[in-house]
Amino acid sequence: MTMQPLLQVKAISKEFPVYQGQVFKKKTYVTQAVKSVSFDIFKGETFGLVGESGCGKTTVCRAILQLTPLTSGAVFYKGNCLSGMAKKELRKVRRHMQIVYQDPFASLNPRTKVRDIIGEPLVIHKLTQNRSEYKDRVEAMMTMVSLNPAISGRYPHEFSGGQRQRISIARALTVNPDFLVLDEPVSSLDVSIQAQIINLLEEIREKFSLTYLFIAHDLAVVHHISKRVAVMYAGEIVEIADRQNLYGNPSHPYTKALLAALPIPDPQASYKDENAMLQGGNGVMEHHAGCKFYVRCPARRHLCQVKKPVLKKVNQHDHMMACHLGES
Amino acid sequence: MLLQVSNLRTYFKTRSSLVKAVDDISFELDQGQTLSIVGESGSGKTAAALSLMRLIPGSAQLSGKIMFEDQDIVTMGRKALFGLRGDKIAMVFQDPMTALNPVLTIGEQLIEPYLIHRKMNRKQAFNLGIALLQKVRIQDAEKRMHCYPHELSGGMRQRVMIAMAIALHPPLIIADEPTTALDVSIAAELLELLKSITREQGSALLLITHNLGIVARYADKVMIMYAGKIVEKASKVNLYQKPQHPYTQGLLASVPKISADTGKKLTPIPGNPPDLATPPKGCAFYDRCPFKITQCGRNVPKLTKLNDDHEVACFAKEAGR
Repeated sequence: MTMQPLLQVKAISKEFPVYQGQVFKKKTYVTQAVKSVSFDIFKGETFGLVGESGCGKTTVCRAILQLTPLTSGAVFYKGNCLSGMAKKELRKVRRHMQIVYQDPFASLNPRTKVRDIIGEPLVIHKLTQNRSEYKDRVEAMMTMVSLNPAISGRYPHEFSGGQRQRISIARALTVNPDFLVLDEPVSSLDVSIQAQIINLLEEIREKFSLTYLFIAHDLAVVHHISKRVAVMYAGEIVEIADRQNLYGNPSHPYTKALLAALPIPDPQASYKDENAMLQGGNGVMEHHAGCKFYVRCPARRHLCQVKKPVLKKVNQHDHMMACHLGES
Repeated sequence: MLLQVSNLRTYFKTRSSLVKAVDDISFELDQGQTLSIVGESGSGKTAAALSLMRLIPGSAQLSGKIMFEDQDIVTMGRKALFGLRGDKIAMVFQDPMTALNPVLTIGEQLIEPYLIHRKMNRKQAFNLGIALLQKVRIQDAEKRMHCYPHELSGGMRQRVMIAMAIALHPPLIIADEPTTALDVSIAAELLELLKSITREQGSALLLITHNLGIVARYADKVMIMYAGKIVEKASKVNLYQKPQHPYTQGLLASVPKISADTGKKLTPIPGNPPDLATPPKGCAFYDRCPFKITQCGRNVPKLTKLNDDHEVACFAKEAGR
């Protein structure tokens, strides 16, 4: 691909210091939430980011939107570097980058009417001239996400989880963004409602030619919606490929294990990769030089403990993986 | 027959209405069998599970019959009930973060069943506790006995919950969304563990979940609940291959599948589940149903047998849709 990517994430890292001590807190060590993560997102595509809880998915999306300062690395949006941009400038760019959060119960202000939740971005970015224009815009947004505009005077608690997620989506879309970060938008919803929201997101993407960064831990959902997928483990990307390759031909032992662990809603389904099942928790973060996945990996060997694998191509289809498998 | 539930109703009184969380459900469970209750949040599956052990608040109205080993749990006295809980029926709760007592060590909580039901001394119980932790594959079991719940990860805590449930080899284990709070890889490992232990002990398992993938892998029989009622009851294979109720069909169609054609739209169920405080007059699924007929808006359909292991509650189905 020679096309200029819409968003470029270049070797971003984020460290959180850990303070310990009874009275005088001392910085004892740092937790590397995200370590040297790079990827590009092209216009019009949905880029899926998969990983277990605590692997740094959410930190990546916060870092992209500059909601948290980076330790190192840079994020480029349409070729402009966002890190270190002046606040005023950043606000202008942010209009084009919006986010839908995971928990629709926590992300909507309980004391604000739905109308003003959806309309607030218009006020912030000064996009409407008068009250009636504002009202029209909010109502158009509500209709688009299949909410009845007549109930715009209600408060968030009067809505169900699915409806609240619709409100979050409407709020993100009021300012006509190009790029949407979806941080686990459907994981708190029931199956039947989840399908409604996924379809809504796909319709909207086509209608407004949006670009999505879709974060989730449910591999089936990511498979359904994404064009390319990256798998994260302990703050690093371990495999990145387009959907067909990642699901049809998973290369990294962690990706294989994730796919093997996925329950399939078909009693006749065969689970061939029984031995790919992982043992042990993900809490083990040993400070050795090698691969972070070492302790849980079914295919580990001595090399993995001493040398860190780097992300490199496994075939011609831009399929990348960070693993010593196949090396001599 | 290990467990026979007939016409179980659990109603909760609120200031303005009567919420029928569980409304006239009947089912049986044989020894060693795995029965799954599937439903969305608010469909009454947890209320049903809690009712089976009478863990519901005293203000709730419970009626019907829960015959467990020839005793009726609904009318059972307090003392008999205490003897039953943990010994004969054990429960694995959904959220291992809140189900464990944060101010007691894992060991303290784990040996409780032995102290209460078996009147063992602490030393004996402690040793059995270590064996239990080893059985659920926790490393350094002896050291872990002295840990507090906050020192363990979510997966470990759920292992402890499983260990507590299997301590006395109960004939029935109720697992209420045991892996919903966990990551996929850990969830798979835990379910395998739970299944192999129940098989080994010959315990029956009542597995409550909303994940149709888990049901397909672990259950023998499945019940689909919607708005407090059972709408379909079948053997696993029947349910997945010939789903009869429009709600079951809708659920199966809403799940994204990795094997499926991509680029194809999902088929969601339109609308939202009804509010149980103001239930509709007829079938609870009426508003969302693509096959509704006039009768559905007036009367509530009853479960009817299609064949030996398939029952469905749907008028449209009866009318031969």
